[in-house]
Amino acid sequence: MGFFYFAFNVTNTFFHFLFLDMKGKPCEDHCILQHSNRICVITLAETHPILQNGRTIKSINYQISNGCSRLENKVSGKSKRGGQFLTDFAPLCRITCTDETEYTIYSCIRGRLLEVKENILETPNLLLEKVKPTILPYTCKCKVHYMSSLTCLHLHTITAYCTFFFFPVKHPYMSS
Amino acid sequence: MLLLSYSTDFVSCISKYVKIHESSNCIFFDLTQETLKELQIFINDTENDKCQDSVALDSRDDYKSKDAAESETSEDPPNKRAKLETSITDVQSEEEAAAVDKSKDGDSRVCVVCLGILQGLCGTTQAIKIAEAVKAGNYEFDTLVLSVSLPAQLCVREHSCWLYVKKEVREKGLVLDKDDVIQVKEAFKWIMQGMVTKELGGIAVVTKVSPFEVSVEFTHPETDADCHFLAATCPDCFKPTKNKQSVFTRMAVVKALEKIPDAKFLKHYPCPPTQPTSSCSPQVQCLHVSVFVAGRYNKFCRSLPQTPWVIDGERRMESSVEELIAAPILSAFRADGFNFSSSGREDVDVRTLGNGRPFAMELLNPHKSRFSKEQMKQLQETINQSSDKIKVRDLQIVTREAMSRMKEGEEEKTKSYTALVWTQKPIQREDISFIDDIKDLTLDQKTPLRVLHRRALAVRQRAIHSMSTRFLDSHHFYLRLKTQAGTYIKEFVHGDFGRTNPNLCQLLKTDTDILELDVESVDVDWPPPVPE
Repeated sequence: MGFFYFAFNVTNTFFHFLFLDMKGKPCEDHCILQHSNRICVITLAETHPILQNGRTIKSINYQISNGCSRLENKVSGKSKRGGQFLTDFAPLCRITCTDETEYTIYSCIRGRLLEVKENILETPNLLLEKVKPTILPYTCKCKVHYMSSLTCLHLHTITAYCTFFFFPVKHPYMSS
Repeated sequence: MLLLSYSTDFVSCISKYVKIHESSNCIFFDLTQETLKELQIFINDTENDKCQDSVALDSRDDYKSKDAAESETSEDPPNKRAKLETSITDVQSEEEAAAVDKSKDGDSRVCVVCLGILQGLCGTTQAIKIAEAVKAGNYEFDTLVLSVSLPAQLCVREHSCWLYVKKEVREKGLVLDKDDVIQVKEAFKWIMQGMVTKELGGIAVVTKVSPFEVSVEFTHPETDADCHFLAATCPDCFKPTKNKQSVFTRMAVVKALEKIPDAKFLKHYPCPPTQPTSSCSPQVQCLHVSVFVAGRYNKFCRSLPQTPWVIDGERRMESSVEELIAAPILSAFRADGFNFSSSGREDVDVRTLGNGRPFAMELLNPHKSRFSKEQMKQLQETINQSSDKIKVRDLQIVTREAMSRMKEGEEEKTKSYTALVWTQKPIQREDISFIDDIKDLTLDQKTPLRVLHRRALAVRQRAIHSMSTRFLDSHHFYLRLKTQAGTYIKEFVHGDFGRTNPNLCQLLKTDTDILELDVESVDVDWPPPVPE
C-alpha cells in the first residue's frame, strides 16, 4: 500500500494499519488509525481476544511500572511537548477481564503519547463498543481517497502480517 | 535666536544650526535671508589667515540663490571655513579661529559630520532625482512627506563634533545646549522640501503627516565601522539580531551615545572625527500608506481553501478565496501586496451562504487610493464576474480599525449552519423531532483530532443555542444549528471518538456522521451594508 500522504482534509480520513500477533501472542491484534495529519489512534482490532467470547472488562490499569503511569501524561503548547515517548512495544495499559484473563495493549508505533482515554476507567466496557467507522465511501469527494478507503477495508480482512513502518509518526494516543 | 555656525577645517561645509519656533517654517525662511546676509558680511570680515576656498564642491549656481522672493531655503555651498561663530539674538557674533590645520586640497573633501549629505547631496540634482523617482512610481497623491534615514555612524560623528564645539565654547565662557544644534536630518529636509515641491510642479511637501512618504536613505559603508567601538563600551545597548541586519541600529547607537561618558568617548573616537574619502550614497523609495477594503464573501465551492494551500513549496489545491478576491482589487489599486483577514474561517469542503462572511484586506503601498462609490461597485462586479466559486458584497473602503473588528466577529458572535447528517440505524421523523426543543446545550470539546497537529490540546466549552431538523430519509436528515463562535460542528455530529460531549451520536443513540456542511450566516453586523 505504501506511504500515502494526503493534504486533503475533506472528511476525517483514517488509514487503518493492522499490527498482528503483538509480541508473538496469538491474535492480540492492534489496529492503528492514522489520520492524514499523522496523528494516530491506537485501537483493538476486531480479532483481539478481549472482543471475543462475550468477555467483559473488569478493570483497566494505566500504571505501567513504578515510575510510569500513562495517566500522568501531560502535553503542553502547540507542539505538544512533554508527552511520554513510546516505542513499538511500549505498554499502554493492562486490561483485566472478568474471567481473570489479562492483556497488555501496546503502542505498536514510535511516537509521543498525546492523551489516553480516561472515561474507560469508569466505564471499561466502552472499550468493547466498535470504533465508529470513519471512512464512509459516499462522503469522499476525492477519487484517490476512495481508492484508498477500499484498500483499507480490504486490508481489514487480510490476516497477513503487515510490515508498515511509520516514519516519523509523531502523535499516537490510546483509544478504543 | 541662537545662531551657531560651526566649521573647522575638517568640516568642509557649513552646518548651520538655528533654533526656531517649531510651528512654522516661514520664520526659518526669513531667518535664512538674515543669516545669509550675516554670513556674507562675516565672510567678508574674516581675518585672512583662515583659508577660504569659496569654490564650491560642485559648481552649481543654484546654491547661491539670493532671491528674496523665493521661499526656498538654500544653503551656502561648501566652503572652507576655519571659524567658529556664535551669535545670540541677532546681535552678538563672535569669531574664533579654530586652531587647526588649514585644508590643502579643499574642494574634494567630504565633510566629517554630514558625510557629504549637506554638501553635494542636497541640491537641485538630488531634488530632480527624487522627483523622478516619485514620477516613475506613478502614484496618486495630493501631498507628500519627505523622510530621511541617515547612517548610524552620523550620530557618532555628530557627537564627536559636539564635544569639540562644547570644548571650544566653554573656553569662551559660553554655555551651549544640545537643543541649540540642528540635526543634519532637519537641515536636509528644510533645504530639500522646497526644491522637491518645485520639481514636482507645486505638489506640497508637508512636514508632518501625509499618506504618501518619500524616503531618502543614505548609506556610507566606508564608515560603518565607526560605531563598532560602542559595542565594547556599552554592550547592553546592542542586542544580537537573529537575521542578518546590523546590530548597530540608529536607536541603539543613540542610546549608547547617551550613556557613554564624554571622557570614555574621547578615548575611543577621534574628536573631531576623521576624514572620509567618499560621500554617502542616497536611495529613494516611495511608500503610500496602506488602504483598507472590507466586504462580505460567499463561497459556493466545496474544494476551495480560504488561504493558499502550499506544502513544501508545492501547491496542493488550486486557488483560494483570498486570491480570488484579492486579484482584481490588487490590480485596481495597483498595490504591492495584501493582508487578508476574515471573521473566522470555514473548511475547504464547507460552503458559505446567506449574507456571507465579513472580511477585510490591507492593501500595501497602493499606487492608486481614491475610489468613488461607483468605482467600488464596479470593482465588486468585476470580482463577481471573475469566478463562480465566490461572490463578494458590500465592498467598501474602511479604516485601519477594520482589521481588529474581524477578531471581534470571530470570537464573540454567533453563527448558524446547516449540516447533512447520516445515521447508521434507520430513523423516522419522530425520532429526531426532540432535537428541535433543545436549547442552549453546552458542549465540552477537546481539540479535534483533525486540527490537533497545529493546535494545543485543550478543552473548550461551547454552546449550541438552538437546533432544528428536516427529515430526508431513513438514514439522512438536515440539521440546522445556531451556535457560539468557535464551535466545531463536525465534531459535535460524529463525536470525535467521544472527545466532544455531548454529541449527536449520544443524543440519537446511533453512529452518526456529517456528509455536508454549510455556513448559513455569520451574525456580525459589520461592515455596514452598501445599498444597491
